Amino acid sequence: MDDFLKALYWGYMLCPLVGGIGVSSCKHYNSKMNCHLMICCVMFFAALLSIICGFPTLHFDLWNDDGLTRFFKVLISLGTLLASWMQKIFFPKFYLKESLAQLSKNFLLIYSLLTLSVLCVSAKTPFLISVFIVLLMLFLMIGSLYCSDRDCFNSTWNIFRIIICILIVILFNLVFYQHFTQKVALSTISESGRISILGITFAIGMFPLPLIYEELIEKSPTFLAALYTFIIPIPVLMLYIRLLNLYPFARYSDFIVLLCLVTIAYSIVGEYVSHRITPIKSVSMLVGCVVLSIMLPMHSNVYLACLFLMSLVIYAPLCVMIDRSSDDNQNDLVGWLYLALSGFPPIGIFWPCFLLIFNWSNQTFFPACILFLMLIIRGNVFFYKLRSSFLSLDLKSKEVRFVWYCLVIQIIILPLCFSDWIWNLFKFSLPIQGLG
Amino acid sequence: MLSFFLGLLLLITISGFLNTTLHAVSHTVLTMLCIIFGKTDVLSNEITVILLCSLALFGSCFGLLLRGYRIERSFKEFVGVLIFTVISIMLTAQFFSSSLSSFEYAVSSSIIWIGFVYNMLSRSYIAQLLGIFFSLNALCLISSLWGNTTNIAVTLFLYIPFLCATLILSIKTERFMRNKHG
Repeated sequence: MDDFLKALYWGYMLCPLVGGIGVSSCKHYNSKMNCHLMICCVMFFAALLSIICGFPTLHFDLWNDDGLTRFFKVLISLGTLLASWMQKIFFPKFYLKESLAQLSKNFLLIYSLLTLSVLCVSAKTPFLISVFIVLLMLFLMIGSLYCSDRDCFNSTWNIFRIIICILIVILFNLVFYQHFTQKVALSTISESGRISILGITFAIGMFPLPLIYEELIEKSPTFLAALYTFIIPIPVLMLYIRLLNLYPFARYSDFIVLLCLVTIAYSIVGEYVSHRITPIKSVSMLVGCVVLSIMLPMHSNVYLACLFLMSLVIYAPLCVMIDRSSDDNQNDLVGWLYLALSGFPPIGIFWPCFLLIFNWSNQTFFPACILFLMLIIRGNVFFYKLRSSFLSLDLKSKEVRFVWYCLVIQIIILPLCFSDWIWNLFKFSLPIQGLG
Repeated sequence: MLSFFLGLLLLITISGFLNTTLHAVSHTVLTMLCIIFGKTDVLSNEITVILLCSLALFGSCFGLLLRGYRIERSFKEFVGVLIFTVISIMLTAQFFSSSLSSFEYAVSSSIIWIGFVYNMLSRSYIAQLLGIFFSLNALCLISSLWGNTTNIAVTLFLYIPFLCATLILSIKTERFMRNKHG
C-alpha cells in the first residue's frame, strides 16, 4: 500500500513535467490541446485516487502528505482541468492564432507553474514554501516577458517585488520566533507572529493588493489569467494555514478580520461603481471569505475555508473566461454567474456564506452582522444591474450548459462527495513539524 | 561589536547613495563581517566559509548585472533615509528592551524595513532591486546568526530568483532604452 501511495505521490508531482515533454512533442494544434486535456485528467484522477486510498499518510523529511495537502492538490488539478475545458468551449479558436513554437512555450510555462504550485503546497517548512512561491512569481515574470503578446511585465514585477519583500519580513520573524522559543519566552513573540500573519494576509491579495492583481489578470492572456486567479492564492493560503499552526494566538487578531471585511466591501463598492461589471472583483471577495473563515476561533474553520476554496477554484477561472468571451450569451452567463456568487439561496456560495455568518454570530456579533449586510447590498447591486439579462437565456447553447454543469458540481457533487471527508480533515491534518 | 555593527550600517547607507555597485559590494562585506563576528554563536566553520563565498559571489553578480546603472538621489532623500534608520533602530531597541539581543534585532529589522521602504516607494527599477537586496542580506545575516542549516540554505537559495529577476530587468531596461533612442 505504501509503495502504491508513493507511486501516486511522486507520479502526481512529476506528471506536469512529463506532460510538458509530451505536449511539446505533438505536431498539430488539436493534438497538443487534446494531450493537454488528457494530462489534466490524469492529474485530477491521481489526486482523487490518493484521497480515496485515504490514510495512512506517508512521511518524508521535507514533504507533507496529510489530508490538507491532498485536498489542495485536488483543488489545483480540478481548477486546471476546468480552465482547460473552458478554454476548449469558450475559445475554440484561441490556440489557432498562435504559432506552434509559441504554443509550446505557453504550455511549458503552464506546466512549470503547475509543478511549482504543487511543490509549494506539498513542502513542509515555511522557508521552502516561500522559496517556491518566489520561484512561482519569477516564472510569472518570465511568462509575461516571453509568452505574452500584451505588456503585463510591470504588474508581474510589482507583484514579485512586493511578495518577495513580504516573505523576507515573514521569514525574518520566523527565525526570530524560533530563536526565542528555544531560549527565552518573550511577550514579543506574539508581535512577530502578528507581523508574519499580517504580511501573509497582504500576500494573498487582501485590501491594498487587489489593484495589482486585477491589473495582472486583465492584461495577461486568457488561459494564463484563468490560472493566475487560483494558482497564486492557493499556495499562499496553504502557507497561511501552516503558519497558523505555529502562531495559534494570532487567530484572535481583530485586525485581520477587519481587513477581510474591508476587502469584501472594496470588491462590492468596485462592482457598484464600475459601468461594466467585471467578475474579477469577485475573486478578491472569495479570498476575503476564505481568510475570514480561517480566522474563525472554532474547530470547523478548515471545513469552511475548504468550501470557499472549492468555490474559488470553480468560479474564478469561469469569471475570467466569460468576461473575455465576446459571445452573444455573455450577459446572460454573467447574470447567472453573479446569481451564483451573490450568496442567494439555494445556489452558488449560499451554503458556505450561511455557515460563515452562522459561525461568526455564535462567536461575536459584529463581523456576522456586517457580512450579512454586505451580502444583501451585493445581491441588490447585482439584481439592479443584471435583472434584464438572465431572464432571456438560451438553455440549449454549449456555454450555458457548461455553466450549469459547474453550478451542479459546486452545489451538489462536491459537497455530497467531500463533506464528510473535509469535515474529518482537520482531525488528521498533521501540525507543522517545527521550522527546520 | 554592536557599536561597530551600527557604525558599519550607517557607513554603508551613506556609501549606497554614491554608487549602485559599491552599495551592493559593501553591503555584502557588511554581512560577511557580521557573520565572522557572530560565528561563535551557532554556525560551524564550514557553513561560515560556504556562506561567505556565496555571499561574495551573489554580491559581485548583482554588481556585474547592474554595472553602468546609476540612481540619482537628492540630499533630502539622503537625510530622510538616515533619520529613518536612526529612529527605527532606536524605537525597535526601546520596544524590545526586555531581550538581550534586542539591539541585533533592531539593527537587522531596520535594514529590512529600509529595504522594504526603498522597494515600495521608489520608482526606478534599480532602487527597487537595491531594496530587495538590502532585505535579503539582512535576512541572510540573521538566519545565519540564529537559524539552523536548512534555513540558511533556503535563504541562500532565495538569491537565485532575485538574481534572475535582476537579469530579466536589465535586459528589459536595455531593450527599452534602445527603443527609446532608436
